[in-house]
Amino acid sequence: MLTEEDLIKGCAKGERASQKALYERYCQKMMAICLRYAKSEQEAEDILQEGFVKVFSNISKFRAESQLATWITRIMINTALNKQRSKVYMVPMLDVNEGHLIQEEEVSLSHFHMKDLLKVIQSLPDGCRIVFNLFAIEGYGHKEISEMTGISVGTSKSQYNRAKSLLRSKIEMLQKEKLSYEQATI
Amino acid sequence: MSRLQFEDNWKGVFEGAEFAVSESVWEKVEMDLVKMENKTNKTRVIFYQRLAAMVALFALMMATYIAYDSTSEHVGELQIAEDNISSDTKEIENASGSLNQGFVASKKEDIDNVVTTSSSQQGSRAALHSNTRSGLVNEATSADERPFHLLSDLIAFVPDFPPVEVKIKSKDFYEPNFPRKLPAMPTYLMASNTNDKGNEKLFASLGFAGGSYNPGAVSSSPSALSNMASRDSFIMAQAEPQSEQASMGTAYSIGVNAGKQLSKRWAIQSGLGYMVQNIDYTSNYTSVTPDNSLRAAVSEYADTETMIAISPPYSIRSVNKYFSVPFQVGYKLVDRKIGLQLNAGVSTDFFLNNTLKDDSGLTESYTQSAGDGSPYRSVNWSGLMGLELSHQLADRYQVALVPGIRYALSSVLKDDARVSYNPLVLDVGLRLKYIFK
Repeated sequence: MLTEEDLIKGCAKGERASQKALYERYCQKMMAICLRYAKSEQEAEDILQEGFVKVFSNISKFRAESQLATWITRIMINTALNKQRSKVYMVPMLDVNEGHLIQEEEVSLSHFHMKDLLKVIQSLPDGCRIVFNLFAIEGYGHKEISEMTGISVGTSKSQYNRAKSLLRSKIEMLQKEKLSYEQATI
Repeated sequence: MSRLQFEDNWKGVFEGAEFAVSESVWEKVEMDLVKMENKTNKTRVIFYQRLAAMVALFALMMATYIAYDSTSEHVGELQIAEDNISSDTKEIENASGSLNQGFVASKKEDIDNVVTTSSSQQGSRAALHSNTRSGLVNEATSADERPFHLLSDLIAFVPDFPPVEVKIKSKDFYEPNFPRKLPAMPTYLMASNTNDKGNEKLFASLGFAGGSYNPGAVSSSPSALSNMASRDSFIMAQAEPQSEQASMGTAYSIGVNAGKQLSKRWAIQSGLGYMVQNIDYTSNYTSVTPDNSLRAAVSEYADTETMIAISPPYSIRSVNKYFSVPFQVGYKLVDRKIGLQLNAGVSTDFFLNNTLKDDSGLTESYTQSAGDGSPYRSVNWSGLMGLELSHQLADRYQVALVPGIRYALSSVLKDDARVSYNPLVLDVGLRLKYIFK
């Protein structure tokens, strides 16, 4: 099995076998990321395709200062953001401070299927979905998100809070559906 | 539950998540990669075509210059041969009346002992002169007698060939059918694939160059030695003191440069350089110092005050050294991993010294620097023009091949010199560039 270093060298030389090996090693993981940022599976595949082309054409610039997986993830996120940028118009809503957040009891997500949760995320409006992904899952701060997306910190916060409330309500609905299904099967 | 728990819940769900990808995605990726490679190859072909065109243009210019130079040289040689024949005829006439006179080159009698040679040397020199003379006469005669054909004469020799009839059988004739025509795409429609050089603000480079050196000498008045010879029957009787310069010499330089990228295409650069220009002479006389030692000498810098002595012909290497401060403006013609830049500018050249070296050891080397007593100007200006073919070695390093032309805008000798020197240097340099980002 080829090491990561060998794969990078091979890809930098334009060797197709190395490119395919690298793709196969990371495609499924990256697909999971792309699905979170896209509205549909088709859109996620487009992001994945464009992202990998960027990876192969820029791999000679990879300096191993970070892990290869992190570097590829960053490329995928940027590709997704570029793809969404044209259609996303994020309106600053209520500029909410953290202190004003309503403390609600969180529903545990462990008993939900990942595909269902993914559908919930994909059902969010574009702006909310991007900010939610960047803040809650990737772990970026609002300042970083504002720099990445070109929106203000306040807009990022308000979009996140909206995403959060939408997700809560959707999860509650999902939970109710699940309970009624379980009761019906019993 | 706290807000952090909400994020942790979601993060936990998707941490290390994987989803199956359809096979078609890799096929699309592969197709894009092939397209990209074709595009790169196409732009590479265009780049090499342009480069080849530029090199061909440069070679054509060089060939034109060399052809022009050699033609003017040939004309000069014929003129010299003619002059020598007439002077040799005169010399034969005079030699009969002054056979008993020694090889005295100076007006001053006390130098006689230094320069008078033995009778055997006289004999050999006479033979040498005689051979040279007969050689020149033969050459001139053979040149004169060479048959000169007119074009009409040559055409008369061409036999008449019967007309050739070409028959093509229509059923065998195959006309190729091209399925499509390749579109001629204007450059502005091509996708830009340039490197991002926006941060390339300052750069420093270290380089060296080597090439040919043509002094570009033009005589403005008869040599001081000729004047001296015409007044002095002793010199006239034996041989005219003269030195002959080689048509081409060598030049090399080393230097450091620093520059600034003004915009995407324009850059300025300046620096410090050390330049050496060598050219060979053959001289048949030496200058005599007050302490009676012989010193290498060439006619261009001789004056009537210096005592000279006729000697067997010997080789001298003239070495000019300069300290230069160039200033150039560059325009990037191609801005890629392999880049091409056109540079033009001026250089302020500070004359350091000139050394006349005699490798045979017959005479002493002689060095003179700039100053009131020197025929050289202290400061000169040269025009610079060249190309910079660069290759990006690493993020901050570039190596460049720099063919260039350096032409002195004014004579490197002072106005009162009998010759005017406008040296032309054609060189190729290698430069290592460090980019500050």
